[in-house]
Amino acid sequence: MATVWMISVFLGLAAVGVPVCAAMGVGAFLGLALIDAPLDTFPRYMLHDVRSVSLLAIPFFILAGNLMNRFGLSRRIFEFIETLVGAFTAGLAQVTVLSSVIFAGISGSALADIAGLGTMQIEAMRRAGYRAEFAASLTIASSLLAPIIPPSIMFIIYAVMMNVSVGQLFAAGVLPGLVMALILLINNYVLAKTGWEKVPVAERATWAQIRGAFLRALPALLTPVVILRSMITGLVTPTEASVVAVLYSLLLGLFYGQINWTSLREAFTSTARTTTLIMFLTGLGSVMSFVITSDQVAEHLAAQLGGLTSHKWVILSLLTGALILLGCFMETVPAMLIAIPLFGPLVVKFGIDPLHFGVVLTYALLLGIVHPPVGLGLFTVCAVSRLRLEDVAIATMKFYPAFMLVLLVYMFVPQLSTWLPSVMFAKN
Amino acid sequence: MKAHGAAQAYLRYSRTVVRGIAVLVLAAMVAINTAEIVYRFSFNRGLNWVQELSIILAMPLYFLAYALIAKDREYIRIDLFVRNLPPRGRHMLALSIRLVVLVFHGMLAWYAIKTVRFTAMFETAVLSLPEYVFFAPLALGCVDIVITELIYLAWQLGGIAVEDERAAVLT
Repeated sequence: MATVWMISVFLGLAAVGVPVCAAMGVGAFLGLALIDAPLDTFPRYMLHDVRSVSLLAIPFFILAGNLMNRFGLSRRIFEFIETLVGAFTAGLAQVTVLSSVIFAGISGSALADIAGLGTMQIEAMRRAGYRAEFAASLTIASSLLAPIIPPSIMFIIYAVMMNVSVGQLFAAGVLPGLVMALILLINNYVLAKTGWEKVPVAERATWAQIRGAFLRALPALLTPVVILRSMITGLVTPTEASVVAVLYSLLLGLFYGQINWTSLREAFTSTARTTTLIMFLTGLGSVMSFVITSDQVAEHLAAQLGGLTSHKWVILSLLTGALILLGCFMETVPAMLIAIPLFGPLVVKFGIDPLHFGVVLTYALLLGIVHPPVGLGLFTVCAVSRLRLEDVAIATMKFYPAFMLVLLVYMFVPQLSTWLPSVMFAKN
Repeated sequence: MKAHGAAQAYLRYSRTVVRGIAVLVLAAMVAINTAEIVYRFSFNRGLNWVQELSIILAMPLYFLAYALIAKDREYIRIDLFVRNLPPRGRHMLALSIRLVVLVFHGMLAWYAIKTVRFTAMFETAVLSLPEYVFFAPLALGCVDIVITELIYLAWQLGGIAVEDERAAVLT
């Protein structure tokens, strides 16, 4: 019952506009009191998970993404892909998806993708004659790649809370990320070919232009390779890989002559702000997690669900539905912090692979950023594109079939998430 | 007016100090982790103090820097309900919300200070520093937030508008 009260108070306070952190905190204090735990222990539970070494990767990956944006490296990536595929059907739309794939391999944050790449993606598509609303909605859709393709901030939090390997979870996200990109590319192609979205025809770039853009972008294009390769080969841990990403970004800034005190200060300050928002929430999530575990909610849920069905696909479908609903009303990180202690033990009990569930959970919660009322992705894209929320929200509906298809593939093809980690980490 | 000026000065200086600390610890974390990687590649063994020091440095970044969010009013919040209220209702709700924020951070500051005093008896595993180094940033950050929120509450009660900004990039 403590959990029910705790979550109800949290949701109630959050719904009337209390900052999510304070709402979580008040709920967690109440939860602790109801399970008869001394309130003095609050700070200790709050710091329990955030003292993990794995979580140190979060500020470093955020910093790497910020540095990449401020040094103009994202622009070079976008320009190269534009010369490469810009002349194909829905060329610039495909460029948006592909550049997000590469940026996802650097930043790990959907909203960083929108704030960094989004501005130039929307501007380029507008200039080329695409509808601005379509450009904005595609930017939101392709930003969903960032938390799935490694490195991913959400995966790091999930790995720490579920006690799974960060490296394995990163590997689990590679194929699902590529499949999502493929589905978005096909979606763009279908929209263009059927005339549901008017797309202009671009001129084909010459080989000289492609070569020039490639050479300009090459060091930036290598960033995901550097990060992933150093992790896959076991040369460095995921946390160290995040430091390598920062060092590589700084090196590129130096190489391109973009490094200066202003950009460095801005990148560090912005990183500090984002990090504190995530980690404060994570700390509060740890307290809530303790209450949920002490209250044996997962066991009660398992008993209830076990009475209904023992089929893991039905369980997974029910949990995914609950996650989508949760993501509709709550920002992704706090939603994740509540969902993991509630559903995590359940998943293991019903034989669902935690890596597979990590991908499904992340994506299901992420869907909340593409539509109101929470729709942080929608708000961010409207802020950078200066478009009306309603128009972008309607334009985004053209991607809903693709979103649903991606979700179904993630849910019912677990090998997509489990195969690569099983191959890469076979020796372990 | 004098009190208003003092409050503004507090917000300005504390913002600069907290931001400076956050940037410095982040830079220090990058530096020592770089040293660890270089050392391990050069001598085939790691520096055993790096992990602990990194986590100690991360604490101000995680918890003290949260005061910046309070000062710039960049809390993550769902404002759908607030937006649909008439101006008077919005004002009353804003005051109530500020009180909830104040009570929560006040309680957290209280228990964090108690934890700091308690953990002063223990030492960290590697560097043998007093264990309160982990909790002090949380206590300081919460105290700073309480002062900040009190200032904003006084301004709101005095009829000065305190608008909320949209939260920073998170997901």
